[in-house]
Amino acid sequence: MKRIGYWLSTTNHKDIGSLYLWFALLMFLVAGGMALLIRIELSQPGRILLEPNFYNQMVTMHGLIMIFGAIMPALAGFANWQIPLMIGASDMAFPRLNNWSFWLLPVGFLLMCSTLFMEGGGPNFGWTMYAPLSTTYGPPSTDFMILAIHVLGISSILASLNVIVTIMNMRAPGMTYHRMPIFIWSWLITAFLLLAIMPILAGTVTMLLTDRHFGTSFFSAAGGGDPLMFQHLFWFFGHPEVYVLVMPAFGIISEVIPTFSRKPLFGANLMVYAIGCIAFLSFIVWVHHMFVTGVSVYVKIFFMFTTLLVAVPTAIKIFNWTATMYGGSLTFEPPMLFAVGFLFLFTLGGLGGLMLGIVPADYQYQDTYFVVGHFHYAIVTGVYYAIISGVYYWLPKWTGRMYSHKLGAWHFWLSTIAANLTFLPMHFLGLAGMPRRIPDYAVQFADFNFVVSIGGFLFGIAQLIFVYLVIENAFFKKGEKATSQVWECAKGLEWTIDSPAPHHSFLVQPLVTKSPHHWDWD
Amino acid sequence: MVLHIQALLSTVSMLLTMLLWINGVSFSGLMVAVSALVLSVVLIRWASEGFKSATPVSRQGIFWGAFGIGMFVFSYAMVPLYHILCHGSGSIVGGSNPNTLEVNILPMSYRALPVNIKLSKTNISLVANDEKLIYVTLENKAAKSIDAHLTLASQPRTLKPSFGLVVPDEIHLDAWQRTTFPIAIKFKGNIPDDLFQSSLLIFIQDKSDVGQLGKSSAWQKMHGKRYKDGVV
Repeated sequence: MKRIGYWLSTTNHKDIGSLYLWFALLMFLVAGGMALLIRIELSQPGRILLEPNFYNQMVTMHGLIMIFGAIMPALAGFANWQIPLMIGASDMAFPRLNNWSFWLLPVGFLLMCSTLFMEGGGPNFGWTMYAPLSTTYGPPSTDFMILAIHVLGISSILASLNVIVTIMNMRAPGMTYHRMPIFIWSWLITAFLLLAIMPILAGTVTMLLTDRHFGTSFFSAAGGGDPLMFQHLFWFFGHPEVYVLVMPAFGIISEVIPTFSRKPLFGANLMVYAIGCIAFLSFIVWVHHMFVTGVSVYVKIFFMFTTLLVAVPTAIKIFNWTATMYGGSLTFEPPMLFAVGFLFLFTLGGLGGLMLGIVPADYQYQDTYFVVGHFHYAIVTGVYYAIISGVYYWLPKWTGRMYSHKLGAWHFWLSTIAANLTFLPMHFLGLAGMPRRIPDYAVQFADFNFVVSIGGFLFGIAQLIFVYLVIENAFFKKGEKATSQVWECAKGLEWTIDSPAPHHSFLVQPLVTKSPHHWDWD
Repeated sequence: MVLHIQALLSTVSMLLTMLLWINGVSFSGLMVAVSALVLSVVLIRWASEGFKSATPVSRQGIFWGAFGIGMFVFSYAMVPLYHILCHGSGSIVGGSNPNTLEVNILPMSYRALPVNIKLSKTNISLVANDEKLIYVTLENKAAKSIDAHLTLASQPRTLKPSFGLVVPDEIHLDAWQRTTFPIAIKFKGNIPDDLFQSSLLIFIQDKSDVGQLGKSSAWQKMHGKRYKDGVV
């Protein structure tokens, strides 16, 4: 009981970081299980296992839980663990707020998952919650989902507020903005984005709630509103949200690649400008999700242009990571394997995004499996790979033990083969015309769907290796004891303290005299 | 009990009472008000601690918190902005004038008929029961005379009965002759709310057997004896 009380009230950033990460892992498993149910249903044409309505609920919950319950909390876990360690702070700026922010997550998740057990089932309209599917036609449980999103949104807003204030005020002496690690920069910019967009989502779902129960007509054409406005509001939040997920991933990759290339990050300042540029552009691209909704051709051309423009700063980042590796003494420990995997496969996902950003092409790809393949490349082999890379990178610092590199490599290769087996054929299915969010399909799509399902299960099995490694490392303390440096060429303040990181990180405040991107070669 | 646990518990109770309220439970409105009051008291106590300490860190936290609330308010400000910017400026096609139909007109001579065809306009706007004139210039490029007529195809196809094309019944072109004449394009009835754009394909076809739409004998074969008997 005392132990539960401790975890319920802890204000230590490492404890809260661990809570976030364990919670995210649990959610990955829950939402991953839903993905496998979806894949069972789609493994053959015809009805296999799920009622079509339950299938729609699985699609909706898989998306919502993966985004709000798994990926965002995982990245928040990194922020909590790493930001104070990397900037030389004793803790986050608002430790109690930090605790509140975390414990809102399980509350939101319970609300969200409780919908599956309600009369009429859970939400079944996709994670995008388009009106009128979520207003006029939404099941009664939609209200619970809306309140869950409020809670998860408040949690994100509090976390981002905490991150901003921590980074702006609690850096060690000598750590100027130019000397901040890229991971910290990426989180600072991400936190601003989050603070700007999560309230928009909160406002939008509040409008949904009042449309459903309190007689307003924000999204009802019959009452003078406009269902299309929901899409505008949602995607004004939704597209920057994609970058909220991706930018901390960029930060992690920017830490990992220099360490295992044994070279400083190429063009570190440009990396920061590129992240800032992507964050700015993310606010002016949202209509590319709505090219077929009847917006005028001039609007489409503007948003097509801005969408394609995102490729420029992204390409700068890809180029800089590649240039960092060029001529380096590369070794491929598990963090680096996942970082290189990220580099290739995220780029592939990005290229699919370019295709979707072209208006006439989008007419063809809209609402097909091509879109599903594209964003799974971006989120799974992009963001998820970066998260795994980050866990493998910092896990010895967190637990004080090294894990099996051999199993880590197995995890990588199995995951990579499985991910390509899963998400690449989705592009072909989409190009051949298979719509997304359907529980059954025409027989000509059967072969590729079977391959996708096999790949999905293989991917799920591969993740069990990761779960095993983490549990073994964290709870059973197996493996070699890690040194404080852990990785030969890792740079930054976090590597100056013991492994595992002590409860109070910096007993003496560190003094920063140079940037982590400027290495002494002697 | 520590302040952040109080905040967590009061948030949960606020949520639960909200759910009761939505489901129409008796006195739930009162419960929402009470739980909102409790949550506000906890948050005000918490914020007042920040004000009391008045460190730059706490002030900045409050500033960014206010920014978040401002963005929530902004989401509501976007509602009138959307109606002004999108419907007001016509960035949604037809939003400002939903009863206007843009019609693209494409001329074509059918089956390599040696006639050049040009239109004075290839784009017109029509409102309900509206009629527009355009000028057609035809030039016979052959060394023999041609008897032709104009016909119409529309996109979407279902719209064809709505268009009225007022054209000469028969156009006689001598060898190498060039002629210009007006035709009227009319939209009969009201324009549907969800229709903003359409296109018309204007064919010039030979009146004699060669150059008819489709195989000229197919129709006869289909109707066979009935056609011969003059039943049709």
